[in-house]
Amino acid sequence: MFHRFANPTRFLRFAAVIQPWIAAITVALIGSGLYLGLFNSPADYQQGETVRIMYVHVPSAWMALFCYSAMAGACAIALIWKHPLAELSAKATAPIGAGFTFLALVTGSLWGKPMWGTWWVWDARLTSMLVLLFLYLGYMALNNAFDDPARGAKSSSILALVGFVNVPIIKFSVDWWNTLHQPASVVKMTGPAIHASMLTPLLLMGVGFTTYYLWVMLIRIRYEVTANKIRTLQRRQAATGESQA
Amino acid sequence: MTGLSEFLDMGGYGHFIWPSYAVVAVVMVGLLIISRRELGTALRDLDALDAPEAPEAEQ
Amino acid sequence: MNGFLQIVRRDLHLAMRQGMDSLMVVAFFVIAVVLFPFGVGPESSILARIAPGVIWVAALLSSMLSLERLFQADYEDGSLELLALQPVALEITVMAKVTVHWLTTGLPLIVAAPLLAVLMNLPDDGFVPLMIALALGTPALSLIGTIGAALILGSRRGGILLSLLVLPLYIPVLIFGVSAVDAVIGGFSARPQLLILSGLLVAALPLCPWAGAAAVRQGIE
Repeated sequence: MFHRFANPTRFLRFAAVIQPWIAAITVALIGSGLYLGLFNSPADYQQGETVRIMYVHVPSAWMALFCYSAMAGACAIALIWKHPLAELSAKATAPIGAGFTFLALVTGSLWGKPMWGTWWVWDARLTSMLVLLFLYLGYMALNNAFDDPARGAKSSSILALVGFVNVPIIKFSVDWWNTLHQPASVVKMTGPAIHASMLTPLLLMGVGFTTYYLWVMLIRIRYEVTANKIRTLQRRQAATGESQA
Repeated sequence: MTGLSEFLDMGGYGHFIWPSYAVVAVVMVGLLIISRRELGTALRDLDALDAPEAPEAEQ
Repeated sequence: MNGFLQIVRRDLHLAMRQGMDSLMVVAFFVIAVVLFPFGVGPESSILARIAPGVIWVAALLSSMLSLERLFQADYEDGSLELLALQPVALEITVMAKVTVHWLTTGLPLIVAAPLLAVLMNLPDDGFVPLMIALALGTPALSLIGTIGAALILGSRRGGILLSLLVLPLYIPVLIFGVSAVDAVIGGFSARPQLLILSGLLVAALPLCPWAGAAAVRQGIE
């Protein structure tokens, strides 16, 4: 299947066709998730209504990790098989993943304030999310730090893989550090057990966020392919312009 | 009416719940809009570059 | 082995002719640590509490400062391309650069650490674990940092970009390095922390030159 889409133009056509469908599915999933989460599910026994933040916080955190894995996978494909769309899909994914990481942090903070009394707590998961945000920002900065976009793509691909290998190490380190410094009783962010009436909106939001990611990623890949075409045309026109002079 | 204001209050936690949903909406919708706008501009730029080439190719 | 030693010797020569670099790294290390008493007040118990963390963070930052120039000179005068074409594998060249970086940055930091531990009122128990942890950690910092130095070759905003790339990757070394010192001060063994630090170093030894060489290759294309 990948080989068919090595041709950017064919991919563009495919993307333009499926995009409206993915958009519709996204709206349907998130819409129903929101409805169930806000109107049709119970408050939590321990955390009261604040548990409703879970319906945006947990999917954001899932997507933050999912996007980084997808990004690293695409970078691996780019480096090993040199599939032309792989680098572009990684570049397209990064801002989406960074956005979700930021959302996980902000909603985590807003959830934490009523629960723990402070806006920020160096909880192991939030801390790991913060480091993940820096990994995303580093990738995006490196990708855009070169005059030649191809150089930026290759360099940041290596960085993404180095970062990916480090994610479990960082997670382990932060867990270690956190158990040393945190008091023993920490309210778990998802509460004791998830009841079915809470699980359904959570899963709807999770899948909805994923299709949202596909939606925006398609738009951004189309943008990257178009931008590449523009660059090529500009270079060609500059060359023919010079030869006619 | 009390139903709505109670709902918005969310047992006193409304000040945390609604900003959470709001920031999620702003970021996700914003990213979508910005991406679409970037794509639109790029497609227009591409057409502009293609158009002057077409008459040259026919020469 | 021969090619490795040649590059190490040559780079050390260059580094020593410039001489000031190692001294400046140590000077920065000292100044950075000295700022903290000014910042948090001179009360001994507070300084003692934060001493391992402060010394380690300053070591991280100092280690990072000299990374930018690791490949820069060779990159600019074209000798990096020549090095890539040599029969000596690029991975070995990168390893040589890592070694030189550690000798000119990590090793001086280890030597300067006891002085700073005194300034920060580190409890006596902490001195030995600090030295051991730095001895295990600073090579890892050099290894990880070298990948970053290679990745930014030819980029526009080298130095500050390098910090953003490398510092998150340094965090595990930081956590276990500080934890080792804190453990001994608290009366516990630092064995687990030191073992983990060793593990990080052993894992980094083959992986970082490999990734660094890949980064250099894309940098000189």
